[in-house]
Amino acid sequence: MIKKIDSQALLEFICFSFFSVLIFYLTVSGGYLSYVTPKMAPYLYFTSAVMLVWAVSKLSDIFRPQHKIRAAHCLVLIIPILFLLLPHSAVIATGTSSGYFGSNSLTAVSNSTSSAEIKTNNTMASQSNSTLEDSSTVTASASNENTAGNSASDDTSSSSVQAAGGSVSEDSASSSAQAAGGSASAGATGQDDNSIVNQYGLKLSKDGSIDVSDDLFYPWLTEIFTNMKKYEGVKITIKGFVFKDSETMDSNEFVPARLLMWCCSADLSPCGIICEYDKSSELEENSWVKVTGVIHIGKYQGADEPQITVTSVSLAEKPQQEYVYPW
Amino acid sequence: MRIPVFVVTGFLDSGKTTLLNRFLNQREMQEAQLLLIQFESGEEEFSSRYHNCDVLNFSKKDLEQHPKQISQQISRYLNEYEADEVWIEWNGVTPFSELQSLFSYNDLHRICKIMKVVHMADAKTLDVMLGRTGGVLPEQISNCDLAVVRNMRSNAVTKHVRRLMRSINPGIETYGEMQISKILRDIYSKHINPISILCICIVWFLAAYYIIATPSFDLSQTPLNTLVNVFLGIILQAVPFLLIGVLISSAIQIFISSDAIERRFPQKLGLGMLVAVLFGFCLPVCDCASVPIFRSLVKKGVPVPAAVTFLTATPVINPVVILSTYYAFNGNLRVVAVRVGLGIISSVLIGLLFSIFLPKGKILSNSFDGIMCSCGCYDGTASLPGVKGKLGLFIRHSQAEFFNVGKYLMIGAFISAIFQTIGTRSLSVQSGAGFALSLLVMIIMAFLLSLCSTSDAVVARSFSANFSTGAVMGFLVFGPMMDIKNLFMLSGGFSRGFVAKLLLFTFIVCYFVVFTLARPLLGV
Repeated sequence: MIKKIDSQALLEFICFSFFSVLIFYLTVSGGYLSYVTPKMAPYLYFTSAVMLVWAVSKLSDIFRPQHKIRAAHCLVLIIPILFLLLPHSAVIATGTSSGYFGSNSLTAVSNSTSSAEIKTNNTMASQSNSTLEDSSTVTASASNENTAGNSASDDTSSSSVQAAGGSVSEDSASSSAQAAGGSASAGATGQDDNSIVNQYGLKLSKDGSIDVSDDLFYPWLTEIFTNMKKYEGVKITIKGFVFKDSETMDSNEFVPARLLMWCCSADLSPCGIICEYDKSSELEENSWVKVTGVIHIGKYQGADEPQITVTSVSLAEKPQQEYVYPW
Repeated sequence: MRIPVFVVTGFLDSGKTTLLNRFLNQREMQEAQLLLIQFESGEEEFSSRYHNCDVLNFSKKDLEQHPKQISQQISRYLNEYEADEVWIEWNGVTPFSELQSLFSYNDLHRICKIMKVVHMADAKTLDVMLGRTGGVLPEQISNCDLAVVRNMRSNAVTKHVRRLMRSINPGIETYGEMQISKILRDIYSKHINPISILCICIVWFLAAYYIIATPSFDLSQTPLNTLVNVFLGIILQAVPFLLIGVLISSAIQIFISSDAIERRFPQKLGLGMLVAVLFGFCLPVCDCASVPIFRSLVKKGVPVPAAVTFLTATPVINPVVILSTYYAFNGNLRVVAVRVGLGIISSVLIGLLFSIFLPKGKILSNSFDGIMCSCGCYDGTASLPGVKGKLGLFIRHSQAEFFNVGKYLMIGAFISAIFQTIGTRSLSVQSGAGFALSLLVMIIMAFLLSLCSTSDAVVARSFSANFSTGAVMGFLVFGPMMDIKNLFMLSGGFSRGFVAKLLLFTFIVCYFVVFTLARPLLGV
């Protein structure tokens, strides 16, 4: 029996369906977070659906043999599929084109989120003599509000932080935008800015210290940078990989950093809080560590910012999701 | 072993019979038993010098009414008489697909196989024919394995014909009618299945990857790993938007007739641009999507200045971009307004420049619709019956366009991934320089990084540490309009001169608009 199959249609069918399944799997499993931010999830589902429809549309062509067969165009799908399947690991700090971020990654973080807030905060800081007791009560009530808000309306809450959170991108973007706008205005009026605390339900531990979990790395970072006075003298435990930059940091300084993804893996940049630690030079770069210390306000490139006086450093496990996302 | 079938296609009077007379009456062929099947009787008569070739003749009418009988007749003949080769002279106005369906009837399919298809054309009439005869001729050309063209009198003509043939059927060889021995060598050479080549390439690629990757114990330390990650990041970011783009553009192409657009679209320059800007304002797509839409607008006869305004305005001023800019810049409405405002001003100015220096000749690189050929939709879109037929056509068209634009996206993404892995550090050293220079650096950066316009605002924000907001505005306005990835996608469908002009105009306009207006408007 001689086969009566159009191999080009068959190849296209395989490419479409494979790509569809792969994208769907990546999105469901959260693997896509190594390349793009959570807000791309609905678009990726859309891609997967279109590919599936295209694959189905090819089915009827498979049994209609053609004389002229082309294959090269399928590389458009084969190349991404191959790269996605081939072994490669997450990007590390030294691999990023950190030229524009690396030298002042921390100010970049604070800039990108809330430079306005920080500036206003710095000037207003003397007026708002918020103490730790104040903040902890505020935090507690805020988190209560947050859980209530969660049950009331899902789409405005902070589901966008969680990797699997399938919130529609525009919802999360707009709610974040509101939060950002809100925080800016709060900063301008010189009040304590609780929007981040409210949005993500940040809580202090029972003994009044901060234990930064893997999931809440970025919210805590913005919160501490935004309201640094509030957290002066607070004990903190934070996990990250050891990041050093000899150009801008002293030899006794390092950052337990995470890579921050703005829109895709093309713009990863390290972010974190600078730690003062006498044995900094002994720490191996890019190894994951858990740092415990006390927050103080230090100077980095002439500007005030929160820093950590380290009491202990221990090796730690890599978090499941290596990158952090601003939304 | 199936009997090899060789097909000669081509328009009436293109010289098919003359060619066959030459081929089949060679001395080397006299031992072979041949069968010639003619689906056309032209002015030239076929005559067999060595009497080793039988001729079967079918009229166009028979072919249309009783294809199955014809197929049976041929197979009966072949079962009765031995034949070493079958040659077919195919009618110039009947689609090649009908020949294929003739040969896919079981009894014929079992005993013979189409090996090579030769297309015969006349250089003198080729252009006219392509413009006039609808889809049949391009379909025949796109299905052939080699082309033979007569009357290629000068080098310029030869070059033109070659380019035309390649634009319809990438990679085919075009011969002059006198190169008989070369043509025959090509005809009898073994046909290599491109899919096997593809598979071999994949295996080689995998082998190379493992050889490079495995010796370095920690893959994460290599730039290769970063490159792969960055590349995939750009691709996963861009492909969904590219899909939206090709779906919309295919919908325009299939469901809206050129007449309707020509009738409704305002021909007045100002009004046309206003519509273009409004259209851009409503489409939530990024630059990956606006390029294919731009192409189908131009094809449908939208005036070039208005279409260019659409192309350059859409990625800057659409709702998603506005939202992401608003968020990235902390709810700073001024930055959002300036970005949108400068985007509109620039795109209108670029459109005006195009209305003054109207491109001469064709700006589309193919004189007719190449995509229509590769997706096998040859009949005019208007003639297709019903919604179902159009839907099928829509799907095929969008697939063809996806592959067509996608390859340029791949190349663009790869190049900008290389730049991101190695290049950007040296550029940002310039940060302390004056506004003129830092604006230039920002524009070049936007060009090289090729970020998706829906999310470039956050990256632009990160530059604010080193660059003034005015310079960053250059990144925000120019980047969506033009970058490496757009340049590649545009060059896939438009003439080189047009793309170069567009790049030049966009650069000049953006630079001067941002240079003069950004700082006063931002109040810095």
